[in-house]
Amino acid sequence: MKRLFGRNKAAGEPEEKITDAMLGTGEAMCTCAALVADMIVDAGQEGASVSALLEKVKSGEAVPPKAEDPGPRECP
Amino acid sequence: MKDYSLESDFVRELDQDILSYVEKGLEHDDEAGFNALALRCFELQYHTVEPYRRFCIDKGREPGQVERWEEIPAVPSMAFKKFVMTSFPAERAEQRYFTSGTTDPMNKGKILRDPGGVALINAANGLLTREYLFPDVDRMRMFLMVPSPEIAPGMGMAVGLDVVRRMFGTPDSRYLIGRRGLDLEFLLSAIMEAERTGVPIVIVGSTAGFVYFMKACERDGVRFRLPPGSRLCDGGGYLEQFGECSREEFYLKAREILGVEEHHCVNVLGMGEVSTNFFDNVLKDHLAGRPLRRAKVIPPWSRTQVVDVETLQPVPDGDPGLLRHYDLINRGMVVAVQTDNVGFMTPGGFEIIGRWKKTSRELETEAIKQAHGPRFMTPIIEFLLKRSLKKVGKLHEKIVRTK
Repeated sequence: MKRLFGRNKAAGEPEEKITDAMLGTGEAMCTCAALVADMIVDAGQEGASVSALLEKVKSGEAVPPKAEDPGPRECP
Repeated sequence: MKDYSLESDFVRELDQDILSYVEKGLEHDDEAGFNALALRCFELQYHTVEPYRRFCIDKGREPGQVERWEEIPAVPSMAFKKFVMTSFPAERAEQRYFTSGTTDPMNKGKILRDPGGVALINAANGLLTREYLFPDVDRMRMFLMVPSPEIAPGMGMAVGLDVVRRMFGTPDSRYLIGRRGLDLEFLLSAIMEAERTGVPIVIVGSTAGFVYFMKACERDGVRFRLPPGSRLCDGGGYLEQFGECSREEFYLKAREILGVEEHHCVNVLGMGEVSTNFFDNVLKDHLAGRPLRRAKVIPPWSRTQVVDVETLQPVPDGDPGLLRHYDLINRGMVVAVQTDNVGFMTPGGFEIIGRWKKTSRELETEAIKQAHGPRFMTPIIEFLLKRSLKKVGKLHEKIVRTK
């Protein structure tokens, strides 16, 4: 998270301000369907970056999980 | 200047009054009360959210001059990507998570919640979840097609659904997505166990996840009959699209693949920048014997307007335009949010039909369709979900053999 915060401009930088022109980007701020992408971005903190993973996926190098992987069975 | 800190009388009394307003329930309608609380939120946010204050000054709107909630300047949702929009110091946040950043993963929005804000969200959305998803049961076995907050602490919906699980799920409820993607074998086993025992379940997740799952089942000829009372709860915006299938197809598949009727399929609109979740009315209406007229319900502590894309002025009821939300639960951010979502008002609330892009000056069907998987997301979803779904038929056979 610190990494991502660090990449963003600090709040209130003088050259930027909120305007109605920000409307109409067509972009969702938090679509539920984007959760999986979010998960990958967050997982990226522990290893592969999003872009690296994307390239891996695109090139077909991604390795699927082992069949015996139990997955997240525990209910926290 | 007046004290607007989290410890101030102003904020503590405001939180208490909003909470009391929420606790009066969903039938409580108090326009004057809502207006007064919205103006108090505006006063707080004007004085504590610096980028918002400058935005309001540009518009010539200040506390004391604004008398109606409709006059509170609505901040474009994209502002949440450029600024930290909180009415408290960021280091005081109890929860912090990021919005999707689908266009630029390096420039994701930041949503921060202080303890009082978290309490408001839990109270408001808990009440809505009870009313519109679990009006007929105390608890239900719940399968969440999202990662747990432990796996994805920066994901807003993972955090929110964990609260739902604790409030409404039975102890054997669980998450279906881990670091390595969807645990399809467990999902299939759970569905089949429900069929066998007759105990209804609820599956909660992103619309796209349901679409992928149901299409994979359809392709491999796998069908289930979930026990009566089972329900689906999906989230995601759409323009008559659910990722790769239309809204009508989604409900058709829910019935044919899972045996869940349309009135037990509840769609929820949730956004990082608006704290209240907007639930479909269908399940509650069905149980009350009312006909199916799907709409997203606006609870008493929020207001929704539909505004013209050019003038940003309200349009006549029923006309399409951009959705603008005024949400008292946003006390910790800004109460008025202008979204890019396109929708229209209905007698029961509102409906969302897509997303607006000004570059084309029109509703972009294709862009909205891709909203469930734009750019890098589609191959990643394929990586996480489709790889598992490819083996749905074989897994199903395997489970059948071992039962």
